[in-house]
Amino acid sequence: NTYAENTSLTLNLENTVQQHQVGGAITDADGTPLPGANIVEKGTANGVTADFDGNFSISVASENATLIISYIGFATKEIALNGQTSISVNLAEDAAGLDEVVVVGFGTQKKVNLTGSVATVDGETLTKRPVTNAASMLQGQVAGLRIVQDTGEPGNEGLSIRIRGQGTFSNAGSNPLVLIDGVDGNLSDLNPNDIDNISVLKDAASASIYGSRAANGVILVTTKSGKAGEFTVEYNVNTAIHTPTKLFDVISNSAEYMELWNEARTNTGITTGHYPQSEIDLYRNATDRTLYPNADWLDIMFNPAFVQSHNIGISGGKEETHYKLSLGYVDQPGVMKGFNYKKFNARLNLGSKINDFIKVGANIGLKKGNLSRPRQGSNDLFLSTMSQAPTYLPKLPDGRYSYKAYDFESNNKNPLALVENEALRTIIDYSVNVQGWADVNLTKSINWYSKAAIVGDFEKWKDWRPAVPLYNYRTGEFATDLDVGGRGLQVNNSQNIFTNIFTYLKFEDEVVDGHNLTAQVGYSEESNKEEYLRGYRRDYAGNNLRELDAGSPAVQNANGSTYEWALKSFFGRLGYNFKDRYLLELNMRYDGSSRLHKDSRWGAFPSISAAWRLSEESFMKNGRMDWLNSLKIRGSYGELGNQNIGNYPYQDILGLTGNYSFNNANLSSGAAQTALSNQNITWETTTITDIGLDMTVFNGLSLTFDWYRKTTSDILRGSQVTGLVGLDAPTINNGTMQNTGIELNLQYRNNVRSGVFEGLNYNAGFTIDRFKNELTEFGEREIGGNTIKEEGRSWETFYMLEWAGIFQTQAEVDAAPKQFNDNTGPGDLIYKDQNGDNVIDDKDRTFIDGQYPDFEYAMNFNANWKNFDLSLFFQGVEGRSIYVSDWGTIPFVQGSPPTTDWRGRWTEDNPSTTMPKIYWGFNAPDKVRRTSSYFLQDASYLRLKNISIGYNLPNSLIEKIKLKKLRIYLSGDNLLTFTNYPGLDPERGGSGRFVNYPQNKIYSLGLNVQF
Amino acid sequence: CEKDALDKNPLDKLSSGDFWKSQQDFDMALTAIYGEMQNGMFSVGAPNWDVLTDNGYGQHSYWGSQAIVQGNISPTSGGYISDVYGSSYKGIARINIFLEQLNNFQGDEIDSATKSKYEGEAMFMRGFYYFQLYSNYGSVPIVTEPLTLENQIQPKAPENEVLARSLADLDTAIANLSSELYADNGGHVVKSSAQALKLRVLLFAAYGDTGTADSGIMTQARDLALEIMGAGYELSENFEDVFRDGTQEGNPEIIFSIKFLAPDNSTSMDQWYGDWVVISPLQNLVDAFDPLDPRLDKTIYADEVNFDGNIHNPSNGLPTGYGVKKFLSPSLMPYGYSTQSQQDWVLLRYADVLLMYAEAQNELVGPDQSVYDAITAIRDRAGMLDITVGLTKDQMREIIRYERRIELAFEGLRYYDLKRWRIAEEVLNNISDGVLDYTFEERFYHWPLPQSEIDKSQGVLEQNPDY
Repeated sequence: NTYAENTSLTLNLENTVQQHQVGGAITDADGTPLPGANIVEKGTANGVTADFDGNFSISVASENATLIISYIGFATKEIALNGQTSISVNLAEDAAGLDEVVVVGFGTQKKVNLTGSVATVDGETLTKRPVTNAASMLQGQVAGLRIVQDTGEPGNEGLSIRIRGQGTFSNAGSNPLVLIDGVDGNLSDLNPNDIDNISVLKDAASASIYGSRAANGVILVTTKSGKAGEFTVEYNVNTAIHTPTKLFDVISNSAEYMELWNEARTNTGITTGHYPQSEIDLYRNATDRTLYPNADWLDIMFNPAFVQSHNIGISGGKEETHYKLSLGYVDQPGVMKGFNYKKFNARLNLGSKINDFIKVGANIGLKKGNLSRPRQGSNDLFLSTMSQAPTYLPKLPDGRYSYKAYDFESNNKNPLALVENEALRTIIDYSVNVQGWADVNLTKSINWYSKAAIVGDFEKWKDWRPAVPLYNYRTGEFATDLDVGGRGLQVNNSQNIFTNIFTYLKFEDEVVDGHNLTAQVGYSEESNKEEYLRGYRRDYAGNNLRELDAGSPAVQNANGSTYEWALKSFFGRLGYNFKDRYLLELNMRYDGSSRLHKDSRWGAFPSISAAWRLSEESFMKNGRMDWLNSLKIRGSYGELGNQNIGNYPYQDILGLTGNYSFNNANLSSGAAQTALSNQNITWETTTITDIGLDMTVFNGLSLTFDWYRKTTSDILRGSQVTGLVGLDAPTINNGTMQNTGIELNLQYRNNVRSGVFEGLNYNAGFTIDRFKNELTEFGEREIGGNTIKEEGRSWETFYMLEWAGIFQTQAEVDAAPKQFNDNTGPGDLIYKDQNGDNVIDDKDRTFIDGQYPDFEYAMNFNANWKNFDLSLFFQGVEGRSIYVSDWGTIPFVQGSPPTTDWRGRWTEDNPSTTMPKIYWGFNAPDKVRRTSSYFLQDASYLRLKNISIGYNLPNSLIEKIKLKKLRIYLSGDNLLTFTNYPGLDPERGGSGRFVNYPQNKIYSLGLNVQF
Repeated sequence: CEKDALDKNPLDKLSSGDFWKSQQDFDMALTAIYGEMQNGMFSVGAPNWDVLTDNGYGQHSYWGSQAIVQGNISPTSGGYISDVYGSSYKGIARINIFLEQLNNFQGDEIDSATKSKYEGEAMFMRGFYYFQLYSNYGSVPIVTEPLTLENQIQPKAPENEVLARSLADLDTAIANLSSELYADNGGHVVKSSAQALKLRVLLFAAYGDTGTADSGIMTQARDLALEIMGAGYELSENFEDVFRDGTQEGNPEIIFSIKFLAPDNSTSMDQWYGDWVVISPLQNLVDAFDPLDPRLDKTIYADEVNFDGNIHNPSNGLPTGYGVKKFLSPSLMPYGYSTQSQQDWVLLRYADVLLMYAEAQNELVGPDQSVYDAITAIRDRAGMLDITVGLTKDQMREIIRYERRIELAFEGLRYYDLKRWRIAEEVLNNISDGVLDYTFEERFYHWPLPQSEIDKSQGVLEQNPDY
């Protein structure tokens, strides 16, 4: 029920004989026509759409048929014809969607009757963006659901999904549970076009029916089913050009690079390996740019990529069986050479009514992914690209691969040689999700539902590491072999089989007048088995045969193992509802886990929630507050568990470690205890309190607000053992982390009823969420590289020296506090004396905000008018900082060319206050490389994530070519970004190397066709 | 049935309860004690200790070397400052568990002679770790049995007790171990290995806080050196054979080495020193070599690695123009990430024993013939002329110290030598050709204990003075 369907005309292809003609007009309460309203004959697929003046005409099977009139934002009405041939219908506005049903844990619930915090996103919204990963599409759609996409790497976007912040600091992790049609799954494996809707369960009340797997919230994905009676074929195609959102701007003029190199080495105190002036002049004055190139390696390795996706959907049903079949194909080469992803999806959802009581069905999802990328990953290839000097090209004029122009130059592996010689990891993975279900109505009010599912993931990867000779660019002499991280072929086969059966009984009825009762009990069993087998041979005669058997058995090895876990669960729900005004719900889960010792294996996770729909009270309905369409307040409290801490966390085991060769001929096996063990571990517990408000006012503005406090205690962590123990820490239950936050979601919808833009429908939305993370119980502080873990602060608060400018004169240096034992001079960084002891040392490190954003927000605007539609989607992050390092920060790290802003570096003639003196790469002295806020970058941004403009060809035109719908659209992703972040894209996973595979700027053209 | 489904145990690991039942189990546990010695800091990375000295510069700052060189040493420094502590106790814990289980083992399968040998081997390693703790921190806690969460916090023992612990462990090893030569004992540590290590410990202790040799300790050291010299070791015919795969097995000079075997137990030695240039020798060391000393070309390369015309050009730059050649394998060129090295790390060798003997004897009685003989043996083997006769004790001391720097360059002993002779301040603060500015303060003779350990000790563990 979306804008896209509003203008579509649905034809009945079965075309049975229709005798009774009915006409009329559809308007809103004020009499304004509602063009595009849907009129469907009840119990059939027969339907039409109101025209521009709100008029319609439909042939129905019987003069006593019932028509269902629906329109987005209005309450659906059913009109019994009773022989009428002309009707006029007034629809009442209903922004809250009184009848809207929301998928919740093990069932559905009317949205207005929800007592917990549940947000929903429909499939059409998701697929507006021309990206290929379903998880990326969720970004900015739900307040409190934060999606951070690390890179734009095809098929490997490094997505982090967090509901209401980082819940724990243990290895149990903060990933939400993702269920696809009720069964454990992976969003990235889905074809986004198969998604009907997504529910995000944010609080304990809505999630606790999933108990120990739901501590970080739950994302429920429901895939599309066929609808009885309606046969549709749909074809969607999208073609797109991807380019990097931003790349480093580096100095690619060789002569300038060489001069800067010499300056940086001199400043660093390195007297060797300088470019002679005569060589610099050769490059400066050269006319032959093959012999003396100004190579731009970023330009060589990054190119626009042509991406396409195709989807075919067939759905329909006859009599008691309905089906939805879909096929999807995505071909996504990367903007960086060496990356490619192809994804194939197929899905069949089938349901059949055996008789009046029993329905059975199956959901089958298949995915095949073909991915290839350098085996050491995108970051490694990017930094290798960065590390090349402009003084040589990747290949010599005769086609051999190059390695430096001068021996004293510094670099990493030749990235083009690596890619073109296919020193890559190729991954083929299959994922199968097969579900069978039965739905039995035992009585009018008792329903029994069961499902059995198997999810299989089968992956095979091959790492090929060939021998590739490299030659000096200028002399042509053999230099070395390409560094491909070893040699030979490694092949890995792995599989993961997850099985799940669950069954539940549900009672739902109005037991006494006005008193509605729901009771549900169920049982679930999950088990998981993961296996891998890996083989390796080192020596291959050539680079062509790439199977294990083609290599020499002289040097080979094999590895393999199996890991298992299992979970058993009982669950139940009790709901009470008095006249849709007072709502109460209790949920309970009782879980037993193989990961815990049998004495502490079972845990109970209860929750309670209640809501009061004030707007249903008579005192609110007396007319004086008619601007208020609906108002509900709700509150919930509950506990969730987490035990996702490795498969065998409590067992007392010895590691097979410390192998040693006594005789330099054979390797003897070693065994040693490497960790203390602790059998007495139990569940990590997450408690969530949530208070929320849902309100609709002025017939179009709706608001949802939530305040929550989420506290995880008894965190399953490694104990803080002293070094004296000499063993790894045992897992213990200790530590508490708390997230307190608010979420706000505003939606406004309206339509223009007169004037030039008569018939314009539009809606706008705004979401914002913020939270504060606090480590409320931790033990002794722990200081990391640039962060600190300390009670009373956010987890991993930035902790470093504060950068306070650039020294301009020696007198300034002499007057300032002594900075470590550095030979600080003009042009060097000034660090702030935090403790006032007139000495700068480690004690001057200080706490700096920015590990967690102050808030995240998103805005969307959608409109349709006549045959046009437009949507805009903005997403922003405010107050986040990222600590960056290495390539791209300090110039000449492994020879990497300085970014062009180093033209403004501090020199005696250019007293910069922002750019220090230039030093040389990894040899740059500590005084400019210390962990300080100089390297902490503001990664706040506001971004036009997507803009799309569509046009539906007029019905009169497409009917002639037997189409139901033909929409053509242009869509752009990441077109505009407002940020202060230097260098690359501010949207990334977190602190780390400055180089990061870029996000994609996408221009795309697409077509939606319905037959 | 329900219980079975939720009882899952590791399928590729041994349960502690089922282990320690047979001699094979103890063999595996002992193997892992040897395996732990492969820790890079104590084996293939040991040459990196020389970048803390006038011998070299470490451009990648492995184990935080650059901060240490510049005198930026604090309890939160990390690198060597925390890793020597952590790694030593890790090794000690493995040994303590082994010794406790060995002591508790009741079966007949392991006879008392074997038990005694096992104990000796483990004690050798424990003596080594306590020597690391003693020489770097001075006063640290002494742990001789497995610890648990309940007794994991221990106070420091005085420096002399840490020394005594190291010596006592080595004495146990000397008493329990075979008198065979190392080359004849299948790669297991022998009595003379423990003696040579004890000799090294004694020489460190001998100079105390003053730099003046204690004659009591020196006498003990000299006598111990004579015992080792009577055991049957001799200098390898070729200097380089000691360091290269293929000529190490059975080499008569090696008294103890940490072994490696490619491809499954390989190292990065050739890559580190031959391609990444992890260590850059300083000009003053190159200048210190007699230009005619063949050891110069066998220890250091200039610009590129060159073995008889077979050349490798390192991928990383040479900040000083030099790299370390001593431990490289000619057969594995060109070096890179793919190179799987397997040369053993020679922890103790006879040339060092001769030099230690000469040092002790010179301090005790002056440059007698036996001192000359020891120095001459080493110089002869290197292909160098004999030293001048008629040297004074002080002159001979300088000759010995010089010869140690040249002969043992990049074997990780220079920092230890500078510290024990108490000349670290004098030497390091006067280096003029370093890429970095050197600072060595009196307090650095004892490093600080890691701050994280102080934090976790609830006030029991005291920081070293002046930090």
